[in-house]
Amino acid sequence: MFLGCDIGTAYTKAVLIDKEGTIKASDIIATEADPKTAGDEMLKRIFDAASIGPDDISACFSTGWGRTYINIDHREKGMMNCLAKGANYVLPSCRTLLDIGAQHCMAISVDDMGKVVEFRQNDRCAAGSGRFVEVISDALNVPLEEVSDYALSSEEDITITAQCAVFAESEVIALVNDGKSQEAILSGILNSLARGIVTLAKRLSVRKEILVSGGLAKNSALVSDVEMNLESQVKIASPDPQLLAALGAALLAKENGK
Amino acid sequence: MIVAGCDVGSLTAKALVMDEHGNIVAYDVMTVLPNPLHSAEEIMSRVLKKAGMSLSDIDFCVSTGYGREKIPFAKKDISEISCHGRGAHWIDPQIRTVIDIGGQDLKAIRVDKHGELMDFIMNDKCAAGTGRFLEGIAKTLKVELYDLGALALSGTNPVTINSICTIFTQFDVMCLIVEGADKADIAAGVARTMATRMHKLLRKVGIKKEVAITGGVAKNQGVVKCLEELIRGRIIQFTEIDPQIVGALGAALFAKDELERLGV
Repeated sequence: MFLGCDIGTAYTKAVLIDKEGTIKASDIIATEADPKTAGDEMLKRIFDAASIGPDDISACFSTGWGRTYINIDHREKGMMNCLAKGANYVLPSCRTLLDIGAQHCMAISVDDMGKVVEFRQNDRCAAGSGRFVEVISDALNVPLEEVSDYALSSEEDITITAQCAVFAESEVIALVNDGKSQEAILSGILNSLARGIVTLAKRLSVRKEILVSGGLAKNSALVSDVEMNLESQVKIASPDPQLLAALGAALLAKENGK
Repeated sequence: MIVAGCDVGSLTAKALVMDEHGNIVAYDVMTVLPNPLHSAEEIMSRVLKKAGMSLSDIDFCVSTGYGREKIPFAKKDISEISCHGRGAHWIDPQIRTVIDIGGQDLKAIRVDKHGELMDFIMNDKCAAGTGRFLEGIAKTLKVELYDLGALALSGTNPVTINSICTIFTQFDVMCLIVEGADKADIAAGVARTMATRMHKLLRKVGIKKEVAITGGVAKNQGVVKCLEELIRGRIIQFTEIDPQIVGALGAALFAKDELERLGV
């Protein structure tokens, strides 16, 4: 068995595959600023789900912000390499991958072997990442998982001018005071985020097929805004876009481990 | 001849009343209300009450700050950059450089020997290094904003913070708390990143003595001390007057100019 772990700033993800590359177990849990506890909990869950123990793992590759915290013999891998590997496995014709996580956004050019050709990333500022949406949904008291539905039911277009998440929060409060609906505001916020992501992506030559991954790929309003700004269709990484880096790590473990 | 300055910022509203001899009659600071006009009316009525006056006693009022264009009782509005420079220079004529940290912006201002604006640099695109940054950190640390400075000074082993973004720094602080880092050391590390950000801006505008600090963050001694270390020199801090009122003071001084120009 081969294990891939991705300990992110918001969620910890893991994928277990067998020697044929079939997914045997996977899970997603909140990291809650405690990567060590999250890593331990994840190992326990994966072992329980597959009824195995640490000795059944032939190789484990770990990636993400908290990658050092996984308490099992492992090798650390760069996020980009894992994502590219996963993208190639999920969609061999993928040439551009957009990964939108809690605290980063990456645009990666991928070749037909699943190697990174070129990349651009923003991991310095919350403006282009999931935290941006989180800050606003908190301010509006809308559950994060309902943001997409709210945005999709908006009947008005609002442009959010602030790029900084903190300033956007103030702008949103002013919009609420002006009587704007939560739906319209969230639609404006997701469009602003999508514009930022597309600006980043366009610093690469964006070629088809385009795959979208990361937790934000589950936000269908955002994905459709990305498509609109890119003027191109995108595909969402299966089986779960949030697991792509962990899946790539598991595949790299199978190829290179032991 | 009575003049007033009204400074409606993003986080606080300030107003000040000055008499014909240039004496400060009254001033006050309050947290803003959702609507800038309401903030202006509320802060003005508080200050007038303190001064024992009514709005009709004010011969000229200048407004400044983020909400300055929405204040009907102000006869003129002037940018907060000019007002901070002017106000600081009036308090101490030796001042040539002012760093002002507002709720949502960061300004480095250079004035000449007359207190007139020469040059400035402003960051209002990103919350890093602004009052909102400290507010976010205080919330994450679960301490009062105004206790953060003293807490930072008591830190003996400042943590290193690699993020610039307010939101990401809040996350870093959460992780440090989970790891068991001392709150005082976290506050000291945060003060250092804040001071570094201010120092960069000061260097861009050019540091000329004397240097003064204004705005709410001037009350955070942890940040001020770090900034003094970075510029290797003294920073003038206003003790006689609230550093948050400097913009409103500058606005009142401009109001006085206007009256003199009009020959009142």
